[in-house]
Amino acid sequence: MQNGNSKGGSAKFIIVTALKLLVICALVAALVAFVNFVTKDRIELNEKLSTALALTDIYSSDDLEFYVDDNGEYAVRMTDGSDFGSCMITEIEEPLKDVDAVYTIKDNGGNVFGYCVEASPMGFKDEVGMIVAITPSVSVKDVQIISISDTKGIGDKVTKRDFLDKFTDKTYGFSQNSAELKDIVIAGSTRTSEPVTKAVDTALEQIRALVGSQKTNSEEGIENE
Amino acid sequence: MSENKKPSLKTRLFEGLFDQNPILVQLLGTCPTLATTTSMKNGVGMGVSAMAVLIMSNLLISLLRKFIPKQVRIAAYIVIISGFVTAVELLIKAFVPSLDASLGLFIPLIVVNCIILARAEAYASKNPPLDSALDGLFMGLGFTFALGVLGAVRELIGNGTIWDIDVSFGVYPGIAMFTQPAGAFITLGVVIAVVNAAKAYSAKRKGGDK
Amino acid sequence: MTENTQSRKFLRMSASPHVHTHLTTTYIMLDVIIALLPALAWSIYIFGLRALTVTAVSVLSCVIFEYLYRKITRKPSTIKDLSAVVTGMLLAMSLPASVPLWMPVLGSFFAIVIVKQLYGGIGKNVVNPALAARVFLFMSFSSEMSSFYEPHTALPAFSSEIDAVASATPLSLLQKGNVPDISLFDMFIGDMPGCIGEISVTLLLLGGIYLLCKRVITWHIPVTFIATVAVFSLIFPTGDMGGLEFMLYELCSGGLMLGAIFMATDYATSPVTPKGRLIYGFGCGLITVFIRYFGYPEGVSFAILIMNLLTLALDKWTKPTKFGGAKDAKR
Repeated sequence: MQNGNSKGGSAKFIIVTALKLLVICALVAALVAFVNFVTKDRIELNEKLSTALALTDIYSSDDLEFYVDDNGEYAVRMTDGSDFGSCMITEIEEPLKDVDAVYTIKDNGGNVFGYCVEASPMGFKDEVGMIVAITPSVSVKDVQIISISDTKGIGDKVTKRDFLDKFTDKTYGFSQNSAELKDIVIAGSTRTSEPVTKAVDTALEQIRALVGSQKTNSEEGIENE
Repeated sequence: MSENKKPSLKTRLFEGLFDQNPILVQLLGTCPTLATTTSMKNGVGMGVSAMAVLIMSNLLISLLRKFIPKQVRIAAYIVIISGFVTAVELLIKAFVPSLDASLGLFIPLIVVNCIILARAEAYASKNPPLDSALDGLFMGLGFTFALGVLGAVRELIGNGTIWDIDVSFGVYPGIAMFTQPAGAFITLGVVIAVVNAAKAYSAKRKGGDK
Repeated sequence: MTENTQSRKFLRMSASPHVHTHLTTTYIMLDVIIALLPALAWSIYIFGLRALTVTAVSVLSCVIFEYLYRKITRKPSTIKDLSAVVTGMLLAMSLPASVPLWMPVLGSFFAIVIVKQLYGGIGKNVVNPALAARVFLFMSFSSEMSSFYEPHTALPAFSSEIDAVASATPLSLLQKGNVPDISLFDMFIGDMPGCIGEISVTLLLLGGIYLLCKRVITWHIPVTFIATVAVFSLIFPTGDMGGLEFMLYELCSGGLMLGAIFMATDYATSPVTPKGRLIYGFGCGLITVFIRYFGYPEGVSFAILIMNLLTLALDKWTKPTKFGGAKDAKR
């Protein structure tokens, strides 16, 4: 019906077939590119919204509410509606492994209220999207899992509160202590819980470096940010 | 199945839903079936997503059926199907993110859902575009219907809810196994048995009537 | 398979006198019930009347479900063969005495209707019905299935409001490498928390010996099963315990005795050939040990179910070769 006439192996046949496949691939690629173009902003917004929700959850005891403002940037206010400082993305020159972004939350007086590190370590099957909230004294305030696609009932044990609560008040280097590590990591889903644990420590390290460099900068009299 | 006389739309719809139901009769696509029917919402969500891909891919493959070289048709089908699955995944992530969270990995897995490749090969490559699109629609409806039923049964027995609505007024504790894989297999088996029994009964009635 | 259909067509019956045997299914099942009664009686002594109520509810539900199923599907009734009674007893004995009374009913439905009858009735089930039902209940209601109370606290016979001291089973302690706070002697007679039929090793062994004497079961499966668990526990103790001590604790805890003697030996779901039975017993023991070490505190039920699935293959592999007779074209 189609190209059955020409000998199966002839050069012309191979080239024609390859070209036809190329056209089909190009067609499909164009389609996907178009849909991507249409949906990209929406998807980014959705991700920001879920992160804002997680941040609100983390700081709920401080009566803070995180949202996405009209420019698509993070903003923060008190739950009663009054203003509260800012939540700004902090530029990091060379982010540590798996660190996606660092945000500095400042209160109305411009003092650092806390830090947030967005990380995405590789779990068992796919990346685990998480946020580590860190206090100004560089200890863990809270950890939340934003997105995970690991096996239900096994990998997603890392989303349970009794695992995440183990990180509270941990300071930099906690994962070097093998006894502490053994206590935290979940037997039976180590492939997910270990990377998550390491990522929390990496977040602590990142903030420690940030605070350290800020101290150096201010000591040298250079204004940062 | 289309022979010399083209079956009516109504016949084809019933075929898709019952006689030739992709899951319950043809036993295609059991993997996503078992995994996504933990609740009726998830089942129907998966069904609708797969149906969208099925209709679009059937349509495009049918339009290109004279252009796609026979020897590499499988590769071509897969490229087209994955394209539409990617598109659907992006659309879900943008407009229904909760569905993305609950279906997760199973949306990309629609690419290897046997139903889509089977219909492409058996129907879309041999029939005109409109017919192929309709075939996609009817098979997709059958798929969604089966997923909905299975999801509803599993959710009801396993959780006491249907479509997240608590129908037991808080009394029923829910038998957890039915939201787990073991219960999925058992439910699927029982539903298929019921469908087979119904078919045998109606065949007997039709045969016995004359 | 072809041989079976051939012989079915050409069954020859010789003229009388014939030899009679009294060995019917009912008779065998009766022996099993008798073997289980001492352990059950002990449980009633330890846990109070509730052990009896749970067992009674379980047995009654099994019998009723079997009767109803056979009636609705217009098949001959099979409740006289007492297999439903045995399933009910075994199911009850693998539950904690404190379970709400609707649980054995649900479990009975699962065991009789889904595992046994839907596959074709007695002899045609793929896995052990009582055990499968126990696992079903465990997966669905893990908290009720894992709550145990101190022995000698009388649990209410009917009500589900239980006000007693909870305790951990020896198995959960053993898995973490801790010595259970019960003496070995107490564990051997059965003065410890656990499921209704699991606690008294002595009385279960007694029942096992009775069944061996009556030729209801053969030694192959229970002995290999228990021996495998014993050997592995001896060689690989957890925590700081000595091998011997650990082994004895492991043997006396959990459903090992009940499973090895009464569940794994179920005719339909265990191999027929002696060699097959030895492999089966070994497999059960091996998997039990694995699960007890690396997974759940109790592995007996899963181990037996897994080996149930391998029974068909085991029978095939250990089929004895035939000598003499006409040369078959195909085996």
